[in-house]
Amino acid sequence: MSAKNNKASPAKKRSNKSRGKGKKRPVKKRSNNRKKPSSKRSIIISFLAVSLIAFIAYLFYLDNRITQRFEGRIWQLPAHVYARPLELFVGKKISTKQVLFELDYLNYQQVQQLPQKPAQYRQWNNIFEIKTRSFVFWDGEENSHTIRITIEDDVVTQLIDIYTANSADLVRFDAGYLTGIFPSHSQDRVLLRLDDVPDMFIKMLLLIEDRRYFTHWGVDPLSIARALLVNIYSGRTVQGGSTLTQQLVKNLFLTQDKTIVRKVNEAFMSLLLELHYDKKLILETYLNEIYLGQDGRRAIHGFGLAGEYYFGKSLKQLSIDEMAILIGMVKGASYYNPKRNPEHARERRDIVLSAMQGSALITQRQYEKLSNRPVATVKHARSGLYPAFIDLVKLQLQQDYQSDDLSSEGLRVFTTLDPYVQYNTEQAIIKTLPQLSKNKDLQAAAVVVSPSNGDVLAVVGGRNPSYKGFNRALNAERQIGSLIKPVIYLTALRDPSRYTLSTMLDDSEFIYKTPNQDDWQPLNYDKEYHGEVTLYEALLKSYNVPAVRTGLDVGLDNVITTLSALGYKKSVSAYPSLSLGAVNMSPVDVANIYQTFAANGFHSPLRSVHAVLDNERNPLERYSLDVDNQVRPEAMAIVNSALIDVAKYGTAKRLADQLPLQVAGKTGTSDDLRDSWFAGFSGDTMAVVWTGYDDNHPTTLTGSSGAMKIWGNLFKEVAYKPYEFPQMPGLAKYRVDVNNGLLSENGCENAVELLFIEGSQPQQTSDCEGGGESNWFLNLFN
Amino acid sequence: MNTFFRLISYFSFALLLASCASIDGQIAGNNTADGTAQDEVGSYKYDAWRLNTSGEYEAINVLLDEADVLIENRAYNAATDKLERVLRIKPEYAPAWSRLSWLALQMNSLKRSVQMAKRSNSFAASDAELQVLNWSFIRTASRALNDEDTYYRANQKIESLKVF
Repeated sequence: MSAKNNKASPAKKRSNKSRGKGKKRPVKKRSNNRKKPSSKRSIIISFLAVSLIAFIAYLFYLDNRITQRFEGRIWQLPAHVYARPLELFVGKKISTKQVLFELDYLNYQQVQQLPQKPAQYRQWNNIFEIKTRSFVFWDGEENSHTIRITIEDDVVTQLIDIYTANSADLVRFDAGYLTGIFPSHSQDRVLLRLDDVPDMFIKMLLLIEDRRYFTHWGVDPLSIARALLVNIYSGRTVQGGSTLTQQLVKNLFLTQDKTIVRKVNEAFMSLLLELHYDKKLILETYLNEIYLGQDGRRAIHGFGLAGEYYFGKSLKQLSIDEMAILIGMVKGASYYNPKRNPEHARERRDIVLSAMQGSALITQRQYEKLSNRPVATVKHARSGLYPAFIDLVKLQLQQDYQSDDLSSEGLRVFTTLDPYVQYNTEQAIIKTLPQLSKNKDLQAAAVVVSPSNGDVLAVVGGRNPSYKGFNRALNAERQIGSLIKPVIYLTALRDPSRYTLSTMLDDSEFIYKTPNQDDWQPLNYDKEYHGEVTLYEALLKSYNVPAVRTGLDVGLDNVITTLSALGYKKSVSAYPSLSLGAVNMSPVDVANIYQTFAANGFHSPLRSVHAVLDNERNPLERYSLDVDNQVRPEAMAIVNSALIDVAKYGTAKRLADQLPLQVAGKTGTSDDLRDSWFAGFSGDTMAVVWTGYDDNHPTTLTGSSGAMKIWGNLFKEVAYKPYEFPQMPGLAKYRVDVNNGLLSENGCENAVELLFIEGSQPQQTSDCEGGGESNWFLNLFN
Repeated sequence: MNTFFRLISYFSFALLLASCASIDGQIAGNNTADGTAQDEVGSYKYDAWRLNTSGEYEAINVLLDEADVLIENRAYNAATDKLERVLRIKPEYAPAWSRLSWLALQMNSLKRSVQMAKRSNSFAASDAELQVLNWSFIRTASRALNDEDTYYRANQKIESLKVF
């Protein structure tokens, strides 16, 4: 308006001026008559010119939006995180129960005939026939195999390639999807290339959504007119006239508002998009952009991910009826969601199938067959499971990647998580905690590790394992109590001239005096003193006073050095109470230390990620196995031999009844029973379990009555291999009288067999007391 | 026959290394790790690593074969990955740890090479030949690291193990 007024003003001035000179009025009149239409025209022309300029500018703006998005990265792609792949070979220890678990976890479908399609299996008794999925790992693609597995006594005894009838040496299954690390909008997608999309799928999609896709210019007037007529006839909106291009524009650039402005923008942008880009590229982008449902916070976008999420298959592997379900969802991803509303999904699928039959894409017979099929989706979504483990993964990845890259670059992260161990760890906590206390505030955390390489197999951060809040496994730093004692004695046993398992330690009243501070008097758990005891007995019975004396004798700085050699790199204060575990650690910290015990002195830093690929599946990073040996292996073997006896005769002796295989471990209880710990290992698994309250108030649990019960229930399910301390030259066993630490004759009832570095064994022989059949000392524990 | 060839290859390699060591006499302070590794352990014969073909651990042999191909192509990282898979199947398989030590030497990861060789020895108590080989890796790495104590200890170990 202001432009119009400004234009009018000079004309008025000119008019007044003319009236002042009378004679020339007619001319002026003519002139006036001539100028009026001219002025109007110029106003209109000016207006049109300005509008045109504004319109062109606006088109440029829209065009710029489109090209910027399309020339750059169209989407932020979340990182996809995978569990470790199951590997099968002859000799592999695995139960049929575990095989079934793994197949279920990977969403394999049980069939009655020989499996024909990937991700199918059949089972009878202890025999499985499986067709695996192909999968791209960090070291290349693993092809699909069709195999027969025979399992006897929890061992794979036969592994045969069904088609060649030859033995299959090593079969690697696909890695199970764990979760994504998402950008703030939580969109998830598996990018597809148009070449990866079956022709039939494209035909079906265009049939239902945009029949003239390859002939229109982005907007289809015929479709709009048809939709308009149908809607007028129906009296409501029953049909849309949007092309695929318009749908894509709406999803990528605009809101879902039903306004004229949005519709106009949509039309112009569609035309511009088609002006710039190839139809095939637009179609490919559409296939990857379309919203197809919600999995908790995760938004499912694109047909690639939808196929995997709803049916556990890639788009290529979907059957026609499954494709029809996905295409039907374009109309309403929530209403036609096959998981939530299978009936609606089925109705819509049948409409799609019917249209296909009408267009001769399928025959009448095919239509009847396909429309009779039930809507079968994979049983459960796995997104968001194992938050405690994922925290650890993020912690490791953050050393090498910015958090923005983690949530936007489409990385594929291959972790060490063992789904079977994770499941059993969760179950051990869920089922055991209520037996320990009726108080539902009692919490627990656990970390399970492969001893030989530090691979973290499972992490549980609380009694509700899927809760994404406080992760106790990583962040609850609590006093570790007697878990420190093997570290104290390992420090001592490094010097065999001073300490052996038979060294007599003083378990009598001890008061530690410090100038200007209160005296400190450590007590044993039973509040009694036991006089002279062997180091072995002090460890088995977890006596406090001998541990404190030994810690002070070997030097607390040396104990801290040992802790560091075992893998604990954080700062520790050298207070005398350190010998009783007055040092705060998280379960992950403790696992780091006890992994070194379980690996006989070879520390491997805990590792939760094996490898990372970029979104093109090229290897970016591989996290190698690392080992570091800073402790004397002989001393470690001796401590471990005693830890075996802790689990047989000592504070953890109940494990001997519970487990069919030899394990080693140590209980830990902090002051006033505030923390209950157990750390232990078999030959193939190491785990640390903690129980306690978040507000640090006392429990009624010791290490053996609390955490150890969870540990035992876990190891019943996941441990296959007994722990044996390593045979090494220079170590030998001798029978020792535990009353006095001297050599003992065979048959003496208070004798036990202990491990020594050759030359460090006692030189004197004890008088044999009695000669009973049973072991007096060990019976004492019982 | 396999065992015989394995023994021959171990001993000939150990003798080669021992003779190199005696010629050098003392640690050559300016030796590059790369050159040393190439000189002393570059010609190692891989067939000696195979398990007996008992069927039970044929999976390991398959992975070792794949690792060999990768080593031939100097794809040491990928070969390392194959060997780590071997160790997930059989963690106490000392030859795989030993080969990881050799690969670490090729990749100039000297400390890693020492640790892998030590780990291999921890599982090879009854295998003197393999221990000689591992100590030779330790010696090579420690020379490049100018770690005299470890170098002389490795020399002593090699000498004492040759007796067996």
